[in-house]
Amino acid sequence: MDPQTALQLLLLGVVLPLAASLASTAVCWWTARGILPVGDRRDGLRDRRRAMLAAILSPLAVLVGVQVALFGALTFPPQNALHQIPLMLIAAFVLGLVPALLPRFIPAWAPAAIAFVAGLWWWLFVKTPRHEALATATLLWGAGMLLTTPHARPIRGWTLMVPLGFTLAGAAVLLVATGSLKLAQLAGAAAVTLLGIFAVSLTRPRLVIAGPGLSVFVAMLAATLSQGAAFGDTPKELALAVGIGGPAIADALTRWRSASALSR
Amino acid sequence: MRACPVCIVAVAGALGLGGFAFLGGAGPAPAPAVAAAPEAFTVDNVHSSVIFRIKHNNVSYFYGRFNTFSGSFAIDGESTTLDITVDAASVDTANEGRDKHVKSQDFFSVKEFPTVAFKSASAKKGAGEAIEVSGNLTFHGVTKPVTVAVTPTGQGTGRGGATVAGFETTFTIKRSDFGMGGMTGSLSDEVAITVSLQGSRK
Repeated sequence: MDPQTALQLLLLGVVLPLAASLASTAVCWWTARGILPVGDRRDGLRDRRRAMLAAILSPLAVLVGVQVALFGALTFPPQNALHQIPLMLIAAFVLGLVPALLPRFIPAWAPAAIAFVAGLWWWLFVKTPRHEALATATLLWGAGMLLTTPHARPIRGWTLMVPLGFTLAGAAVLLVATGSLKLAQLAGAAAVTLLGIFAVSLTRPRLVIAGPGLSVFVAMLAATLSQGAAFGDTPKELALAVGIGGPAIADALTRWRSASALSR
Repeated sequence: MRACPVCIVAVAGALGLGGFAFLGGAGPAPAPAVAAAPEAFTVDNVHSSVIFRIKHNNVSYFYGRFNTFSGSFAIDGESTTLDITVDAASVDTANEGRDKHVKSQDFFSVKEFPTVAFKSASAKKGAGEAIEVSGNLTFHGVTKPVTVAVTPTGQGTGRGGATVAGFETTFTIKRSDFGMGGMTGSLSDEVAITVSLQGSRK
């Protein structure tokens, strides 16, 4: 790889997303503090809302920004399979937001369960490459959210972010090895964005990636791996293993931490 | 005066026969003369080349080729036609790693867009022997109008008495126009494509 290309990859895949993530998370956190009612007695609720705002808007803004930088302006309908990814992220954001806004009516696992079943059915019966990629992404997103959502809310800090971050970084390495630098850059940028949020959360423990924020990262993992499998040389079994294995490890760690916290 | 029945029948018969002869002799109106479409040549993949050139790091050119393509052409002035389909996955840049990258979603995305195709729509005389052929180029799922200057390179008799003919054209496209604008820091946006075809017909 020539130095210019390597530098471009580093800049768009690591440096810019990390800087943008740190900046946007911090701005969202302190901006949310400004727009929420002053003197609100429910300080715990205010902090949770602030955390949610920061952890929702930051990844979506950064990741869509990275994609525009890599692929150019978003188009509808998507010009090709890569252009489907930002639309998947926005859909994941909405699907993660709905149960967060209507917890009494829609349980957190419901959208993921519906998407998982629909994705599985589609994956079994639809065979055009572009539709297969979309079906695989839906399947992986549903599986990932079903594994992580029940544990995201009560557990804070590194338990969810770190394994998910490592999974995204691992997906980036896998995608480089099997052909597509752009997909690898996307997955790498997502890992770095998560790192930025994690860094801010070290000083603000209430900052967690629950609900829509988590949904966006799981969607990015699902989208990049499924496209690598459908259009690149990424073995499908490996893509499925990483896409489900990562959230499963995150789930196992949160259960362990929850059990450790309860036993004290 | 009474009409003669025999005379009436005779006149009616004469009129009927005359009318029948007139109508039968007229026949359908002759069709206007239409110039016959030139007979097309089928592309001979073995004796043809489709190659491309791109600038790297703004210092040198490197060349690649497509090994599998098919189609037909007819070189005949303003009746010239050109219909070529190239297998995108047959790209060959003499480097396995680079070929894999070129076939990936970063560039050609061959699994999503397996073919590159040019289909002519019209032609007109160009400078010298060249014929300007206008048509649609479909590459990476994007279709754009393109005009290429086609130069006939010869015609003769090949094996088995088949008539063979050839042409060559070189044209330039911008890969960003076709959604393949990545790595512009190290690769030029302009790509020169040379198509040199030999075809045959019996």
